[in-house]
Amino acid sequence: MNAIIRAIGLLALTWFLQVMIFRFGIFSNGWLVICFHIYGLILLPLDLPKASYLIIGAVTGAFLDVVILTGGLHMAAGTFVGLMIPRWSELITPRDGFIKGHTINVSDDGWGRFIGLSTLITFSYMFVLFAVEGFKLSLIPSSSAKALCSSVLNIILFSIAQGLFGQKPKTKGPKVSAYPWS
Amino acid sequence: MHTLIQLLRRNHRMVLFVLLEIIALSWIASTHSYPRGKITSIGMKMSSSWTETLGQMMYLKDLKTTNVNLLMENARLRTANLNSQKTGLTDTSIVTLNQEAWKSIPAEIIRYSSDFKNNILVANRGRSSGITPGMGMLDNGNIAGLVTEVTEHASLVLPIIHLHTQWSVRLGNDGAIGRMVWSGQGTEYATLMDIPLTELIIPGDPIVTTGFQGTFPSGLKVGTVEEVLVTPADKFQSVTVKLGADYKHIHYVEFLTNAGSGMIDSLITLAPE
Repeated sequence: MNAIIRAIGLLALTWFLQVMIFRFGIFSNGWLVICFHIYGLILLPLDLPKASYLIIGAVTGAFLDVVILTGGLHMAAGTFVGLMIPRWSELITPRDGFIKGHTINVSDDGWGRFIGLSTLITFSYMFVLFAVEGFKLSLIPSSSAKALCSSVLNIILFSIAQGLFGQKPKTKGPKVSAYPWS
Repeated sequence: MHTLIQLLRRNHRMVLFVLLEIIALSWIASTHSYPRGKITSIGMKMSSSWTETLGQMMYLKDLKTTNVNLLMENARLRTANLNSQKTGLTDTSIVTLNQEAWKSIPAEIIRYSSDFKNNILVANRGRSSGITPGMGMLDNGNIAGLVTEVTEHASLVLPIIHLHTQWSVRLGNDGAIGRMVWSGQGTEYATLMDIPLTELIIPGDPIVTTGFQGTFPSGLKVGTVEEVLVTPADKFQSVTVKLGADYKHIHYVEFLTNAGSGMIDSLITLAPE
């Protein structure tokens, strides 16, 4: 339960940061777009009911659409990501599975798994965002290219955030020695 | 029917996905055509209030630049004002004598002390900006100090609140002339001395510069009379002056230079001993 509350809190924080700051992060004529709230979606626990990802993704996107006037684009992308998160997380799950309430983090899962899951989620979000925005089959290649560029930028940001504020590795053994003179 | 319900239940996730996507896509369709939806108008209200808040933050950020620009404009206007006052005199002889062209140079105080007996100020303009020793300094139109040393890009100023400075000032526009010194008691007040007992002084009277020192033109604001101190045994009275310059908040200042002061100085040197 605590993990879910913590994850929802983080999602709300990333959403807030997206609304307040990162909404202005649009560079190179729209080829590089920052969507920092995706970081909150990545950090959702990996064992939630599958339908809940759909609802969380849709609601997060819808709230964003209302505030930054994107008229349903983020809702469409968030819903798609909500559908895909369980499948993407299955791809990175280790042989013996994750513990209950586990969220992806560098200290437990390593940079490979973190960047792998981030890339899949971010790219699918960005692709739907740009594809729905263009709404033409002829624009699919350019949407893919835009999604790729934006994904790279976002993953760099998420990695920085994870490196700075992510879960720190647990220290081995007690901090205070039983033999302080030793 | 029963089979349909079972099918929906089995694929509830896909059904939910399709439903949500339909909502999102219809929202997109509605916002890309006229009339725009009610949700969009709510969004517009929220967005505009946020943009307004951001605008106010940007305004505060730009305030420093605006302040500097205003100071420059102020200096330019003061220069024009000082010179127009001189040319406005009708008497030819006075005009000839007062062929002084005062110029104002804006600056910023970068070092400052007001808690000592011999306070100093350092401004960020020096020789390269045309500042020379002997120039006067104004704070918001009130006299504030005298330049004593200059380097290429900075100048040292002795303010009124320095125990070793004396200022020639006048009571009102045509009142008695006296010597103003600082007693070391607070940065807001100075003492005007050598005022004859016959002079009628009322608290609130303005104190202005005489222009005799050549540092400032005559008639510039120094402060106002706060209190009159009369000692029966003495032939003179003293006046506590509330200074116009605010040394606790001094930041942007102006230096005054007079193009004709060299000519006047050379004339003074010709005077017999």
